[in-house]
Amino acid sequence: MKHEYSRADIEAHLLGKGSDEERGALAEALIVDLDLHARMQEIECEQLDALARGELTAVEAAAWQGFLEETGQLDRLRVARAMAAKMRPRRRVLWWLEIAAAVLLLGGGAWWWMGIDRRPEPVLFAQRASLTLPRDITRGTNTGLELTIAKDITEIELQFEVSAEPASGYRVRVLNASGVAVLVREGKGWPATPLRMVLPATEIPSGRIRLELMALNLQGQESPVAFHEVRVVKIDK
Amino acid sequence: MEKAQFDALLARLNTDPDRAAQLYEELRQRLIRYFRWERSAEPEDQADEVLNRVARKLAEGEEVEGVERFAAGVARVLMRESLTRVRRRELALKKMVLPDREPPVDPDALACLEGCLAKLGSDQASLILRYYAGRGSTHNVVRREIAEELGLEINALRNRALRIRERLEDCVRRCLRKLCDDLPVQDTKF
Repeated sequence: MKHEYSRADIEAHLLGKGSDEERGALAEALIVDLDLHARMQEIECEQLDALARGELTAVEAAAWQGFLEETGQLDRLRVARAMAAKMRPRRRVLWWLEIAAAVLLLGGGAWWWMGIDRRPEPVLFAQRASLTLPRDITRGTNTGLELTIAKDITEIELQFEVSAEPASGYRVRVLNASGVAVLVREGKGWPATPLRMVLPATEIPSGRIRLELMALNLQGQESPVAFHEVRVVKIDK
Repeated sequence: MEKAQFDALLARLNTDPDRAAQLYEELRQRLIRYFRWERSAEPEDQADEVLNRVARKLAEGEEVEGVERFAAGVARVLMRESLTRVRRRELALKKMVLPDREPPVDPDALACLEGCLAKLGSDQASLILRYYAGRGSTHNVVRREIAEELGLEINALRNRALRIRERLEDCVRRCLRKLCDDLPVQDTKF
């Protein structure tokens, strides 16, 4: 009787798991059963794509990257990453902020044009912009984010939606386009999602930056949780 | 492999020589993947060795019920003979090292991909990008839509997508190799 293999069975086989007997039975079926063979190829491609798109947990990513190395297929990851980049939609997280800013500018212009001086007193408290880094892209590197910082914005609130295991602490690093860390912040404990962090806008450089969220263990050693590449535009309005 | 042995193997695969040659190549590719998935250091050589042994047995007149099943048995024996399984276990222990930070998108790979997609033609390029876009259950929905549009069974679509992807990956690899070969050699004095 033909044995039905689940996706989990196939993934486990590819990752080198299972007893000799289990592996032997599936291995024989792989050569004889064309449909099973094609399913395994397809699952291999899908896991490769998930790895390239940064959709796997750190442990899964390590396992599948190990699989590619052991099977001499690491070069496929380069192609899969290019495919992921080709298919990735451009995200404009703060599009609503830009629209709101445009509406405000138009409105302000209209008041000025009408010669009515109703401009408010200068704001003395911090003007804050918020950048949400969603859960589904917290693993791997997300490269499609843009942050527009208007002149009066003094603080940037980062909101990392995290799904990693709790850790003793966390560290957020901001790297400039040259890969130099320009800002490092740490916190103790592992807060509930989203992890919020407020940074001074003046310390966020323009251009392409990288935000790194690392989990810290008791010894202060880091493990990666989320990487985001963000294009920062500062405007004088 | 001697010609008589090769002919004996082809004759067992199919009476039509062309079809037999195609089945031989498909079986060889499956064997290569099998050995690769088993972490063999030389999957091509081992696949050829399996086919050699099968052909020799057939030429010697050994009773074989199904060539593919017989080849699968020989492949397993060959795996046991090799040290690759020991290697697999050793490697499994090293696997829990977290991967390096994901590098940024490689502009060379992206340029090669664009060129290779153009070579595939718009129909196949669009098919492959749609087929592998999305994740989880989105995959199934999109794939059912594509299968309906093309009037194909879902398995036939999968096999077509796998073939296109293999060609695409092969094209990108060759393109990247060519870029590497075309790099100017520095005139270095030792």
